[in-house]
Amino acid sequence: MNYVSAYIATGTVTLVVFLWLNDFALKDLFKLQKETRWKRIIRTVIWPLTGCVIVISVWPVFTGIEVKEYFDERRRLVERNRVFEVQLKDLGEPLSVADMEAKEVVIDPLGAVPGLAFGHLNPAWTKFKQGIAFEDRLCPFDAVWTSPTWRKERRTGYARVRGKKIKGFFVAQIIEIPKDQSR
Amino acid sequence: MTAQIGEGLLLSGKKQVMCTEPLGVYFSLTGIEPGFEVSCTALWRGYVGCWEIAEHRLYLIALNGTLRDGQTQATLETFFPGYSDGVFAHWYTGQLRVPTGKLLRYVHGGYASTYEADIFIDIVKGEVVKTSTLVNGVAEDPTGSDGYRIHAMTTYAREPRKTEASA
Repeated sequence: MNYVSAYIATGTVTLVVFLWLNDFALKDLFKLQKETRWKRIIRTVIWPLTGCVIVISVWPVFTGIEVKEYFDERRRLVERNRVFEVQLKDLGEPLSVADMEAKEVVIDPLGAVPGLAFGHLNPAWTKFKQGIAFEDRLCPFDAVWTSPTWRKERRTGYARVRGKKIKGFFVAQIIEIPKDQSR
Repeated sequence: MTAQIGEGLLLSGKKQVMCTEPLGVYFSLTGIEPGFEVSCTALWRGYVGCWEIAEHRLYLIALNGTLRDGQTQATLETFFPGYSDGVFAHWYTGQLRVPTGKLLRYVHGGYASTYEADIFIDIVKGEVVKTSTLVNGVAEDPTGSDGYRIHAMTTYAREPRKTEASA
């Protein structure tokens, strides 16, 4: 008998929490503009009672649904806010800044680009370079990334690495990977 | 999303419309938020660039768009000071798509419409590496006009500027 009481009590608490979490919206589903007496009885008495009995009887199912929905919503939020990060596995061998800049000078016969490292991207590179500390290593990276909108890209550039931590990165190229190649 | 106005491309001396936006990659790489005014649903990016393939390289030769203040006209000089004659698009690696011929199937979204043929130009760090053409079919109506175009859009009215007299 005590177990039955505990079960029903837990079910009652679950019902209250369930209704609170769902903002008592269930009642709005049954608001009818022209209600007959019988429909009003269904809406105000039979449906709520039936709902209460169901929730109290099978409260583990409702609890499981709410818990799953909570974690699913958290996962969706993380997915929506996902940003590109360079991982250690994406890194190549370190280079000196001088070697790297010599390698990345852009040359154009028509003179339509500054003859500097990364050409028109040089201001962004210069800003990144200012953050390189004495103890940092500069490593090239090559990473494949899927954006929150499911666009697959290959991103290459250079990362600032201190010990085993990536302290920052400069993306020099973004190449879209067509859908038929991304399978 | 409404079908989008394409970028202009001078290809072998002929004006075409290109369904690729290489300048968007530049803004992503530099972190620049260009701040263009969106004046209609067919131009969410707020600007139209004009490009040219010259000496097997891709160049941005003109840029048109109004900034969010509703007055400032953005040009090449706005984002590439000192390069108003043209900008080598070395930052771009990808495939340019140039629809040609008559319309086969209109889709009112992005660049999804299909035309009789597509010219694909593969670009690596601003340099053309390959050009190919894909034939998609033959239009039933031979009198239709050639080339990519949009069929409908919604324009946004600009809010009137408050003057001292009206304030």
